[in-house]
Amino acid sequence: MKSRTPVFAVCFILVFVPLILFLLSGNALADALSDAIQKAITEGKIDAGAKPGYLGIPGGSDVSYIIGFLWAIWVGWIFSSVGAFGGIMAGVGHITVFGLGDYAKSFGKGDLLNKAITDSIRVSNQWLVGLSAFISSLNYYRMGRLVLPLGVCLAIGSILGSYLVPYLTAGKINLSAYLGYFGVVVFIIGGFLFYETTPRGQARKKEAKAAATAFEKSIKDKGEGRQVPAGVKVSNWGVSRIRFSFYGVEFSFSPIVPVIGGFAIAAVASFIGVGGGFLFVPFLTSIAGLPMFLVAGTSALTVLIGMIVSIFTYMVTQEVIVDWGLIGIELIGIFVGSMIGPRTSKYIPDIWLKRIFVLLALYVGILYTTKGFFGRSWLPPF
Amino acid sequence: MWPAFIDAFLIFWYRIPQNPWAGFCLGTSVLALLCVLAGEFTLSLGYLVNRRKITGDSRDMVAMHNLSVRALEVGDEPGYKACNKVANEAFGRAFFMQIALAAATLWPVPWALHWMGKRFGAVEFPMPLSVPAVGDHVSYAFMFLLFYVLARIGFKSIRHKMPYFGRFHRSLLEEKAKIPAYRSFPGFGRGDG
Repeated sequence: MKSRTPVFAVCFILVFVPLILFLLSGNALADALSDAIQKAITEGKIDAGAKPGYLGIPGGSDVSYIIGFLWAIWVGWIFSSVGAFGGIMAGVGHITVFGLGDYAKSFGKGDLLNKAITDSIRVSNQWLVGLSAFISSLNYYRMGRLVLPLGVCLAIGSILGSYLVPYLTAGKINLSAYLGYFGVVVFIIGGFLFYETTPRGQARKKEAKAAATAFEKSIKDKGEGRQVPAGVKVSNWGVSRIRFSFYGVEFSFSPIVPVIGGFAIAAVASFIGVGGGFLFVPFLTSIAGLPMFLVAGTSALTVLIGMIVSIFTYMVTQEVIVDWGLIGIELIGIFVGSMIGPRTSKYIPDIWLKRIFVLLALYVGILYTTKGFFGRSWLPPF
Repeated sequence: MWPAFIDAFLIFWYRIPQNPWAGFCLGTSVLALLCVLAGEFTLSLGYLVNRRKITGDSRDMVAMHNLSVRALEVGDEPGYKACNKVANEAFGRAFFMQIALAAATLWPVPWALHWMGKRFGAVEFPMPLSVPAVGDHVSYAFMFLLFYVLARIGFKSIRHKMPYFGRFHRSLLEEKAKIPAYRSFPGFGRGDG
C-alpha cells in the first residue's frame, strides 16, 4: 500500500503536467501551419481564395468523413478480431485511403506543407492510441497494477525517446521518408503475426495451454500445495541489477534494459505515430521475463507517458495541428468495428485470420517501403 | 460542416446570460454534460450488444492471471510461465475490447473540441498569473477539459439516481460480480493479495 502514493505522484507529474501545459498553450498551435500556407501561397502552390480543406488549407484535400467512418470500422474490426494491426491500419487510412499522403507529396520534397501534413498524420495516429492508453492506465491504477521500479526505468527511456524524436524530426520529415519507415514497422508487426502462424509458434501456444491446464488440474488435486513466503520481496536494488521475488520465485532485471527498451520503443512509436504497446508487451515478457501482472499495467502506463510527451512535443513545441472532426468520426468507427469484430471473427479460424493479415502486412509493407525509399511503389496503387 | 440546428442549439446556452463569462460557463457546462451523456450512452449500447463477450474475456483473463499467482504461491515456476502466457493472450482480447469501450466513452470529446475550435479558436482566456513558457492565457481546449472533468465527476455521483443510466450501472455491477476478484501481488497492489 505504501508504494501507491509515490506511484500516483510520479504518474501525475509525468502524465498530467505535460497535458495541462499543452492545453494551456493552445493559441500558438496554428502558427507553423499558417506560415507554411503563406509560403505556399507566395510560391503559387495554392490558391488563397480556394475553399478550405484539410486543416483549413485553401484548396486542401477534402477528407470525406463518411470514408473516414467506414475505414475506422475496418480498423476497429481488426483491433478486436486479430488483436493487432489496428494502429497500422489507422495509419494506412490517413496516408492512403483519405488521400493525405498524395496530397502532402504534391507539394514536393522539402516543402513546409508537405512536412506539416506528414506531422499531422503522425499525431492523428497517436491521438487515437493515446486516448485508449489513458483509459487503460486509469483502470490499471484502480486495480493497483502500476509498478514503480519498472515503471520509472521504462518511463525514463520512454520520455527521452518521445521527446527527442518529435524535437529532432517534426517539420523535417517528408512524406516519402515517413512512408518508408512506416513500411518497415509494418514488416516487423507482420513478422510477429507470421511467427504465431508457424508450426513452432502454434506448438508453443499449445504447450502453454496444456501446461496451464495441467497446472490447474494439479492444484485441484493437491489442494493448498507447498507454502512459500508470501508477497513481494526486493532482495537487491542496485544500479546494475534489481532482484525481487514473488512468492519465492526469483525475478531480476538490469535497470538499463527497460531504460534502453523504453527509449527505443518510444522513439519508434513516436516517429511512426503508433502506441508501441505491441512492442512493450513482448519486450517485457520475453526479453525482461516479467509476469503479466507487471507487464499489462506498466506497459499501458509507459505507452501513455510516451504518447503524452510525444503529442505535447509535436503540438506545443513544434506547433503541429490535427483535424478534431476526423479523430471524432474515427473513434465512432473504431467502436462500431470493435462491436462487430467478435460477432464475425468466430466464423473464421484464428490462424486463418492471422495468415490473411500476414499477407496484408506483406502487401502494405512492400507498398510503403518501395514508395518511400525508391520513389515508386512496386505494387498497386502505383 | 456543422448542421445549423446543432450549432444554434449549442450556442443558445452561451447566449442566455448577459455576462459573457457566465454565458461561457453555462454553455460549456451543457456541452461537457452532453459529451458525458452521449459517451456513457454509447458505452451502454456497447455493453448491451457484446455483454457476453466482454464478461467472458474479463473472466478468462482474471481466472488465468489468478492461476498464475497461485503457481507462484506454490513455487511452480514452469506452471507460472505457462499460465502467464495464456493469461497474456486473454489479456490481449480483453485489452482490445477495452479500447473499443474507451472509444465509445470518448468519441464526443474531439467533436466538442472541433465545434469549440470553430467558435472560440480565436479567443484567449486570461489567467490570473503568467506561467513561464506558457504565457498568461489559456485555450478553449483547456477550458473544455476543465468542464468535462467536472461533468464526469458530477455524473458519477448522480448516475445511480438517473432513469436509464442508473439501471445500466446496476446491471454493470451485477456483471462485474460474475468476474472473480483479481488476486494481486501483495506490496504492489490494491487486491486481496
